[in-house]
Amino acid sequence: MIIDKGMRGLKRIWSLVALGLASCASNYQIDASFPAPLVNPLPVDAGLILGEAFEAYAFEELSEDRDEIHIELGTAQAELFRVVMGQMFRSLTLESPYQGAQLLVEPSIDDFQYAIPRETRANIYEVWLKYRVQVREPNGAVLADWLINGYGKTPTALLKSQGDAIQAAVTLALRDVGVQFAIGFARQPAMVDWLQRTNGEASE
Amino acid sequence: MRHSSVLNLCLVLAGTVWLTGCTSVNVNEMRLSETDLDPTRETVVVLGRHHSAEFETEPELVACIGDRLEAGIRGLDVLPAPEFRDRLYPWFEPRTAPLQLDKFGSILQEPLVRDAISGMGVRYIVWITGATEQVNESGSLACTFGPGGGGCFGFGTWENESQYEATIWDFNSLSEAGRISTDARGTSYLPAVIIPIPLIARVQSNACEGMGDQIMDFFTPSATAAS
Repeated sequence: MIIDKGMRGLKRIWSLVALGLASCASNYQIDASFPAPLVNPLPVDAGLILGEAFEAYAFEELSEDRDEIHIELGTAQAELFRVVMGQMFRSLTLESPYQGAQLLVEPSIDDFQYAIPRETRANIYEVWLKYRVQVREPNGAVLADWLINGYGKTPTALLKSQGDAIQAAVTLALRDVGVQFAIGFARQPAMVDWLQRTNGEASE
Repeated sequence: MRHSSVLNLCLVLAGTVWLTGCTSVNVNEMRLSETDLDPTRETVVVLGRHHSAEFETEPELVACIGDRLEAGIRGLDVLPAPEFRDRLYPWFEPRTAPLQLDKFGSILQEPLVRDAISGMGVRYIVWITGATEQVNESGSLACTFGPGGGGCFGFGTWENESQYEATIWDFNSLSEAGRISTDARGTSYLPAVIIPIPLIARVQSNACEGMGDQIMDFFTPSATAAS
């Protein structure tokens, strides 16, 4: 059933009451699953380096002007790269020393930002993610150092709890990162050259 | 373009006024080609546009239209938008979904995408753009709570406006089959004497009903006429 926006005025009152009663500190664990991308696998054996810090990453709000917030997204972001890369390459190795991998991919998170309706006066929660993805050959030579920005927003902020809204916004932002990685990887100039060279050598 | 229906849903009976506010709905249709949907082997997907930070078609409106089509067209199994997006990930995400038919055509150059859409039996894609917004509000309402109880006093009113457009793409001919637009406007009231009593205008719901019925008629004119 659709609840019209007029109802949101009432919900706003209850949200404010609930906000007053709630503790200031909020902890959220992002629990997300991602679909395998519909792309042809590249004829490449790849290795995915996911460090402990990446898999355990959590965002902590340090600003004194904002409520305390703790968002654990390490598991979700690791899952995204595992699922997306698992479909993008002929084979994917996750265990060191990445035996047989022709290239190694190591993502790291550079930045996490969010905005809540109280701050933006819009009825949406927004999340921005910034990743650095380094692509290396097994000998350590860097092939590409790529920045990917992901954006996600919840469409119906006041119909959800803050936890649900942040969960949805982070999941959408991660999906957006996956979109760019899955479609853009083979279009990176450095990767175009490398793929041509590698495939050329393989066919000779 | 023809004005197929103009619905005025202002309530007449005083008892009904206690349940909802007033809403008026206007639906327009522009048909560009004939449709021949076979609900037994073809399906429809209804998708909302989400291509910019400022732009968001409400998922509940999109789901409502899909449910209405499914309920109104015998045998039609409308594909849920989240399932369609997951199965075509990453091609129908906010960043990549085709805004124009030529972009859709270029995405279909990818055999994996074309085969996936064919495999799902999708014949028509219905894109919904637009939103429901509060356009006006007035009045004041004050509430006081104390150890002995509390209450509210005052009167508030606000007006909501829905503007949506459905663009229907035919996957088989890679062409636009038509467009249906809906405008709905309604006023809600909130009188309060100790207890607030909301009289909510169901603007978005009525927009869904108006647009859903018109899309149903667009695909199967006889189905709506019979009902």
